[in-house]
Amino acid sequence: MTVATWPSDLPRPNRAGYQRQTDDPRLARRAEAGPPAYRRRWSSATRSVALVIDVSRAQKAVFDSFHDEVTVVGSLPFWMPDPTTDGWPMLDAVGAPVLAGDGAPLLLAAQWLCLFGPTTPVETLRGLRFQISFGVTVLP
Amino acid sequence: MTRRVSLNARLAQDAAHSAEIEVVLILVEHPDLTAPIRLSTDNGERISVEPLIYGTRSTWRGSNPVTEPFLFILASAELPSDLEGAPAEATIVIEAVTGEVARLLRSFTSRATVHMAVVLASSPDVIEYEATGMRLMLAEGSAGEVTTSIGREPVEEESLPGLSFTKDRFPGLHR
Repeated sequence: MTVATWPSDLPRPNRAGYQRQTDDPRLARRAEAGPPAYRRRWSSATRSVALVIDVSRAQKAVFDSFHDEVTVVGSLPFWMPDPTTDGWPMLDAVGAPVLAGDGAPLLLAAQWLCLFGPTTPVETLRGLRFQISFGVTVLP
Repeated sequence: MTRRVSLNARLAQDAAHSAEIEVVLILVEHPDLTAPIRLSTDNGERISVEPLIYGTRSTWRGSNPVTEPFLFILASAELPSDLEGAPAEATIVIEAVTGEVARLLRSFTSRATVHMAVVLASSPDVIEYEATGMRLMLAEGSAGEVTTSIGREPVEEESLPGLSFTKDRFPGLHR
């Protein structure tokens, strides 16, 4: 039983529709008035990320089989490349990309261990392509 | 009853805003167990991916923080009570995610020994409060959760054998 990996056939998520929010690990103290106060409940917090991918019919089949069979309708965790880090060039202090010895820019790599979010993926048609919007919960 | 806690814990309790988390560590020992069970109520660190396990590393009661982490459970813990005229009783409510929990709790007849400690997540080796040598007295559950009560042995309920006035024991009666 190995942890599943996000299929590499699927494209990167769209810029529009990306949203990331940290789930609140705090516990609010109930006060009738005055400023709110919190205490921490957990050491590590999950993050909720909303993603949209724009896929062809063949890629839609890949996504469907990954969601329905590999993660068993979103109940098993999986590894997924972090779209905001993975594949981005590494920059130095002045913002220039750091180059490897052969002149190719060094790229960052980051993997999320995540679950599908609380709402199941939503699929809409746009022309001949499909738009699948889904949420993932990034585990700490 | 006064109790000594570390300065950091006291400052955290008195502060208006504090980032400290109090973690309950639980250690269960039983003659049938090859190794004690170590549990924690905080998911400080991802210990393994397959299976997905979180936990806390501490040296409490001689645990090796590298190889013997305290594993995170979905539980709420209640520390031993301080009531007049009643033995101290702690409660752990375990989320019964599988039926295995109930089966395990019904599978032994002698009482397990439970130790509990409170630490801060930032200093897991400094024990703020400790209750050791308690016994697992009762475990009752519903479909969703299992409530285990932990206290001391009920010494008041020990039956004392009454003596029968036989010739051997009380020869003066049978003269």
